[in-house]
Amino acid sequence: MPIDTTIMEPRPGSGDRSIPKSVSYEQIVQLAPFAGITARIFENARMFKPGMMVLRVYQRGETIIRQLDAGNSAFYILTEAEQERLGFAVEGAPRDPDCDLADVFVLDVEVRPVQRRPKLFGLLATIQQRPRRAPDRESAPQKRVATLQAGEIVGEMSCLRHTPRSATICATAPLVALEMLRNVFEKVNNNRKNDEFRQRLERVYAKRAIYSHLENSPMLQGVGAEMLRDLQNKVKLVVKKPGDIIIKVGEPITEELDSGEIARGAYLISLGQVRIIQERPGGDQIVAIRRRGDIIGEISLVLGTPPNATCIAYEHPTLKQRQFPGRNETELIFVPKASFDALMESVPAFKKRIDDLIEERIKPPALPDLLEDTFSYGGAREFHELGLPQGQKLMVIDLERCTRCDECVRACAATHADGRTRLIREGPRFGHYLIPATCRQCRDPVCVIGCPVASIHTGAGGEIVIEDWCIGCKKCAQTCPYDAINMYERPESETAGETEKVAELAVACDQCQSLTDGEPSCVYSCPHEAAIRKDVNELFPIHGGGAASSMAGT
Amino acid sequence: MKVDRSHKGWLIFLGVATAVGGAVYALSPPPNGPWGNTWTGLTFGVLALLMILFAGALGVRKKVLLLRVGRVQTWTKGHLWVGALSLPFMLYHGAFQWGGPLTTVLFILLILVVLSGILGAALQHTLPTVMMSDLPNEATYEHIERSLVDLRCEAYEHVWAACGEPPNPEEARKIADWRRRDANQRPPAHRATTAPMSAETVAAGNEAAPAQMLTVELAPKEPKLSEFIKAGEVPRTVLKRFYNSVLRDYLRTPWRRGGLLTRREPEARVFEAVRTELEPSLHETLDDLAAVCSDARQIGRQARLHRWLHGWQIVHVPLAMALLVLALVHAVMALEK
Repeated sequence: MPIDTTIMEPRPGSGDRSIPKSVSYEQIVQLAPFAGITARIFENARMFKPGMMVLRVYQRGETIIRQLDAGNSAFYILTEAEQERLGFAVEGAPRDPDCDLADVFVLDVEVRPVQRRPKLFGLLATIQQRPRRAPDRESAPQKRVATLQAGEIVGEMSCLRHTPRSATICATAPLVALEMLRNVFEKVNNNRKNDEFRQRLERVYAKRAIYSHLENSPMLQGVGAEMLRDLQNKVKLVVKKPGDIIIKVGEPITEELDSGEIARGAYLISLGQVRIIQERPGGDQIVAIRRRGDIIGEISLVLGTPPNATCIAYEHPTLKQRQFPGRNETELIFVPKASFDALMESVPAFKKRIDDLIEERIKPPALPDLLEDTFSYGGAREFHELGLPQGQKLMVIDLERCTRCDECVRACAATHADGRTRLIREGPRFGHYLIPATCRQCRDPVCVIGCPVASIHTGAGGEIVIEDWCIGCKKCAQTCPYDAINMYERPESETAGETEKVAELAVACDQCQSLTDGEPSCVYSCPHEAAIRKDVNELFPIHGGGAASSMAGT
Repeated sequence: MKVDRSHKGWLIFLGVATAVGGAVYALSPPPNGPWGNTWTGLTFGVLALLMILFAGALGVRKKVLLLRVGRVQTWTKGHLWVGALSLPFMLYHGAFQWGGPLTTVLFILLILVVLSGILGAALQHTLPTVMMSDLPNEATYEHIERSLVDLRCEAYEHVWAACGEPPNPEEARKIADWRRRDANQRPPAHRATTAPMSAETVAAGNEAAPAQMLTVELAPKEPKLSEFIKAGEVPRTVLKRFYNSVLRDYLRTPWRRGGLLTRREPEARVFEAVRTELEPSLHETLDDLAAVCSDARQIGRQARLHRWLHGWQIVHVPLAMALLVLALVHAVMALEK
């Protein structure tokens, strides 16, 4: 069974090259990640589909992965023996099996929001260009953080976390890598037939996830490099499925460390969201949502009191009723009490941050918050039932302003080459806002999980991208909890000549990434200031994680 | 567009520009003869024309959706306030005199355009809030007809199920045809919420109905209460008669005013009167029909409000276009003199 490796063209400007070589199933299963995967699994997972796997050669100095780029694939660096098994060898490649082949760099700059210029009747503000990424990657200083050798997989973080690339990887010697799209990598990651490789993969992933989070955590800003290195060896990556209890009210917060010791501690949220639930009159209430970068369990640790709230890994509200192929997990980094105390003692900035946080979280609600109580608690249930905490670019239409002119829908259709709208002006209401059926750029984008050909993924800005190799299987549309992905029938003229006819295509809002200023057309074209796209925290600070919602602490 | 605090700058601009224009006008007393020909008058005229052109450019801006030359909301604000400013400048230009026939027409047109614009702005300022509070189940306007047909199907099936026979055999085919088409056309998410099609409806729909059969028709005048409730009739006949003579027609055009079911209070009286004639087993059906009626009333109200919200443009836009053309004609004629 040959694998066509020539279809996926090298990305323009990326400097990489694909090897025009057909590889058989028998050859591919000789590579460590694929050992034991049956031909049936390969076929069912469409792993032989053109472009799903591509062999690439990188010369010394070439970039394999660029930090902050959208990532939808992982790279397996072939060993010399594996290259020979596939029937070729790269000239100039080092013979020493332990030789370092690639360096990993991370940007060493602080990302700051771009300052906007003052408005003159709002007109000039719309003309100015807004760069999508703050740092200039080419000129920004980078630091080398690791070296890679043959037999390693890189790029797996983006595949598993649906986040942009967290580092830049450059070849330091000629090497061959097998690039596999996310759907192929998921099979590799779940390959129980090669447990040794899978476990190694898990260990590497945990190490990299911890490193990445500790390096970038706002909580740990100001902690010295030496201390961070020490901390990396003492913390533990904890993975929770949606709905799992992380902290139970009244019970001590403990985890079993790798050493077997049961330790008390607190959690840093590395991926996903956590619901904070407290008993209130009328039953349990979700009183806050904690997100990536937040800490939970710190009050209990500092004050020595049992937790006063239950923390549960976030789950999309309607997923249970849908055919859902997978689960987005919440990842936490457990910081043992000893390490936490050491940080408190030796890093004043960390101590101040924690003290301020505790003070904010345990203070009684301010008067305006109490006045908001009816709305906040009455609306809180609805807020969560509608899945609004997910919205990073939540679109709402202010019904007190909207004249139902549909300019937003027309602008959306006009922005896309296929002329199809990604916005349907229908949906539930929240207060005086309509929540239309369009992508809200979820913090946990479950739609991207389970795509059989990995055509749907998150872009560099977190937007949902559906590539043109979509096969119209509808999985993403069925999975999206908010009906934000639409299926469109393709006309006969488009499908004529296709060997494998794709009758429908999925489309989702890409936040108008194709436009230079990145401002979605629906908002730009609304004549009445009714269409708004913002992070839910900015739109609904009471519900979404603002001052009032941070009252609940653990 | 809601006129709120964000319009403050524009309002100040309008006030200051009007005042400055007024001061210039006051300091340059009109000579004998036409004042528009003087440099000051001409300047006012040119400025007024430019303002009218700018206000008219909003229509072009809205057509070019992808052009990033300022948010449409900014253009709309400009349209509103600069358009309004053109009136005093035009008055300064004409020295508060009508002039000849063309300038008289121009003045009248400008006044009408500004007035219709103010009416539109007032409607856009108030009606969205009314719609939000009065229409909790508001549908997209383009889908109103579909929602209405859904309600008609639902009412028909309720009466059919209660009476054991179709209340109107001819309509059965239309209903079945609609249900079939609806099932094929709707996206899956919506299909789940559609009322299930009864077996009888399917059976009755063997003959294909023409596509326009379920388009909204002009309903005949609704009868009075005494005309369809006759004492001593079989309850099921009362229900069928109620459906055929009142409900069916109302569900075609719920936005029509003056019917028995158009407003909530008369509707309640009608249903109460019918209820007294029905046996208790049919009361549930009547409640279902009342719910259908309530939904239809909301659709009717939405349609009426929507027409108000956008209907003023039927006056404003043609007048504005006429103004634009005549203003240009006036300018060319003035230059030729």
